[in-house]
Amino acid sequence: MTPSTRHCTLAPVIANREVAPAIFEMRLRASEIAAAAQPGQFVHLRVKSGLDPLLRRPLSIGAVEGEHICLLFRVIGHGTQLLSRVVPGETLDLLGPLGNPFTLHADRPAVLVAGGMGIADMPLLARRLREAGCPAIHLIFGARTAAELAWTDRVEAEGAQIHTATDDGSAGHHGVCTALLPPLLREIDARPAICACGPEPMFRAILSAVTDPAIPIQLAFEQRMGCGIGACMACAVETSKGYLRACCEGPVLDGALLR
Amino acid sequence: MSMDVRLDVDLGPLRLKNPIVTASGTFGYATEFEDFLDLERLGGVALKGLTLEPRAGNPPPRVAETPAGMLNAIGLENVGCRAFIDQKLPPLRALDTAVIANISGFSVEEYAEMAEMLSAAEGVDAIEINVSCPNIRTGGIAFGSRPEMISEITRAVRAAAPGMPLLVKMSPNVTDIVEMARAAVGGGADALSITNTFLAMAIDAETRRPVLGNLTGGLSGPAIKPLALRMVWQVHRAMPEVPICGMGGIMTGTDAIEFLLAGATAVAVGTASLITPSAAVDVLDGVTDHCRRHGVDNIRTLIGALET
Ligand SMILES: Cc1cc2nc3c(=O)[nH]c(=O)nc-3n(C[C@H](O)[C@H](O)[C@H](O)COP(=O)(O)OP(=O)(O)OC[C@H]3O[C@@H](n4cnc5c(N)ncnc54)[C@H](O)[C@@H]3O)c2cc1C
Ligand SMILES: Cc1cc2nc3c(=O)[nH]c(=O)nc-3n(C[C@H](O)[C@H](O)[C@H](O)COP(=O)(O)O)c2cc1C
Ligand code: FES
Repeated sequence: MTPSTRHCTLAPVIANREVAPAIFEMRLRASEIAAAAQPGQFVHLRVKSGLDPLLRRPLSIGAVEGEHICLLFRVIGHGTQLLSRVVPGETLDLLGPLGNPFTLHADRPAVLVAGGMGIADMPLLARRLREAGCPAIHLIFGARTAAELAWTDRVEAEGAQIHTATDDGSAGHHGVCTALLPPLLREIDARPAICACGPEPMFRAILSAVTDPAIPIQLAFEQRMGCGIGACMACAVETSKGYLRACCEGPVLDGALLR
Repeated sequence: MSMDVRLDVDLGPLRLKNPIVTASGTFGYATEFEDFLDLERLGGVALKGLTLEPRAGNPPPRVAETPAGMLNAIGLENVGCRAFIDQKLPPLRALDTAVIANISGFSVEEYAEMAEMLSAAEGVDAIEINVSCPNIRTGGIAFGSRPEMISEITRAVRAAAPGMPLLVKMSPNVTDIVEMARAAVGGGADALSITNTFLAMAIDAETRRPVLGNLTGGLSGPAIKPLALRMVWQVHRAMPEVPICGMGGIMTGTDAIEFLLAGATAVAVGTASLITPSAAVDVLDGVTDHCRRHGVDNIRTLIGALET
C-alpha cells in the first residue's frame, strides 16, 4: 500500500438495492478511490454524520467501474441497517482505499474461496487476475442458502468457473464449501494460488486441507476496526509473528502466518 | 473579516503554538496521519503510550461501540521505549510541533527509567505520565487511584528527567479527582491531563458474553464529555494556577471552547481522530472560527472564563 493513495472523500451514492435477502449492493461515485483500489482493499465509511453510530464501518471494495465503486454488504446490525436505507443522491464519507491487497500470482491458476460475505472481495480480484493473464480462475463459494449466492454472476463474467455450496443444500454441494477444495486441487494440474475471504473456521479448514507449501494461501480478515489507518491497534489479528493489524499488514495476510 | 487570533498557550513550561494537541493512543506515532493533515498545524502531538519493554497487547476484540462512545482494551500494545526512540522519534524531530511522549509503567522504577531515556533522546518536548496502570508491587492496584502512589511516581519521574516539562494524566476512576490532582502537583507535575478513559463494560445479550476480549475497557468519546468537563472545572476551581490539558469527547471547536471555559489551557482530541483523521485540525479551525465570531483576539482570555 502506498500511503499517498489514501483519500478521505464525500462520495455520492448512485444506487443501493437489495440483491439477495438482507444483502445490499451499493454503488458510489468515488473517482480517486476507484482509480487507486486494489483487490482485497477496503473503504472505511461513515454510515451517518453525527454520533450514532460513532465509528466507521469497513467494507471491501467489491468492484470498480470507471469512477464508481461497488460494495456488497449484509445487514447484521445497527450500522448496516442504516446503510441499507441510504438512497441515491445522499453522500457518504469514505476513507480509502485502505489495507494490504491480495498479491496476484497470475502465472498459475487461481482458486478463490468465499464464505458468505467474503464474496465481496472476489469480482475485483477476478478482474485483476484476468487482466494480468491468469490461466484459470475458479471460485468456490459457500453461503447459507441459494438465495444468498450473490455476485456469482460478477465473478463468472470475469471468466471464472463457479463451484457453489450451501448449508441447506438448496444449491451446489450440500455442506461447507471447503469440502470442494481437495477435489478441485486434484483436478487442476499446476499448483494454484489460493485467495480466501470468509469466517475464521473456513480459513482453518483451508489451512488443514492444503499443506503443500508451494501453494500460496492468502487470507482476507474481517476484524472489528477503529481507525482503519494503523493508529489505534484495535484490529489485532493473532499470527505466528504476534499481533498484526488487519487494517495495515492485513486485511490480506499470508496463510503461512496462521498455521 | 478575518481577524487575527493569538492562539499560543503555555502548558507550564511547555509553549504550544495553539491549544490543540492529540490524545495519546488515538494518534499512533503521528506519521500515520500525514496523508490527512499537516502535523505542523497542531500545538502538539501526544503519542501512543510507551512501556519500557515492547507489549503485544490484549486479545481481540479490543474495541466496542457504545452510545456516543467506544470502549477500548488495547492493552498498551507499543514498540517499547527503546524502539520508539530509535525508530519512531527521528521523523518527528524536524517537525515544528511539540512532541509529547506518554509513558506507562508497572513499577515506579520503570517510569523513572523511561523518563531518563526519553529526556536523553533529542526531540521529546514533554513527558506525560499515564498513571492508569496496575502497580505490580501492590498487587495490581492502579497507581492513579492512590494519591501517595501518584506523587511517588511524579517525584521519581521529576528526578529522572529534570527540566523536562511534565504532565500527569489523571485517571477518572477515583472518588475525588481534586485529591489526586493535588498529589500530582505535590510530586512536581507542571500540568495535568484530564482525563483518561472511564472503566466500563459492554455485554452481548445474545451470546451472554462480554464484548471485549479483556472483559472491561476504557470508555471514551462524546459520551464522557460532561464527566470530563466537570472534572476539569473541579480541579481548575481548586487549583487555578495549575495548567490543565482537557480531554474527553472533543469532536468540534465548540467542544474545545467548553473545556477552555471550564479551565483548561489546552485540549486534546482523541476518539475523534479515529473517526476523522483530520479531526484535530478541524477542531483548531473551529476554535479559531469561534474566537472570530466572538471577537476574541487572544485565546488565553477564554481559559477559565466560565461565568457562574
Ligand atoms: C476489511 C473488512 C472488510 C469487510 N468487508 C465487508 C463486506 O464487503 N461486506 C460485508 O457485509 N461486511 C464486511 N465486513 C464486515 C462489516 O464491517 C461489518 O459487518 C459491519 O461493520 C457491521 O456493522 P453493523 O453496525 O451493522 O454491526 P454492529 O451493530 O456493529 O454489530 C452487529 C454484530 O456483528 C458483530 N460485528 C461487527 N463488526 C464485525 C466484524 N468486523 N467482524 C465480525 N463481527 C463483527 C458485532 O460484534 C455484533 O455482534 C468487513 C470487515 C472488514 C474488517
Ligand atoms: C484506542 C485508545 C487508546 C488509548 N491509549 C492511551 C494510552 O496509551 N495512554 C493514555 O494515556 N491514554 C490513552 N487513551 C486515552 C485517550 O488519550 C484519552 O484520554 C481518552 O480517550 C479521552 O479522550 P477522547 O474522548 O477524546 O477520546 C486511549 C484512548 C483510546 C480510545
Ligand atoms: S483499526 Fe486502528 S490500527 Fe487497525
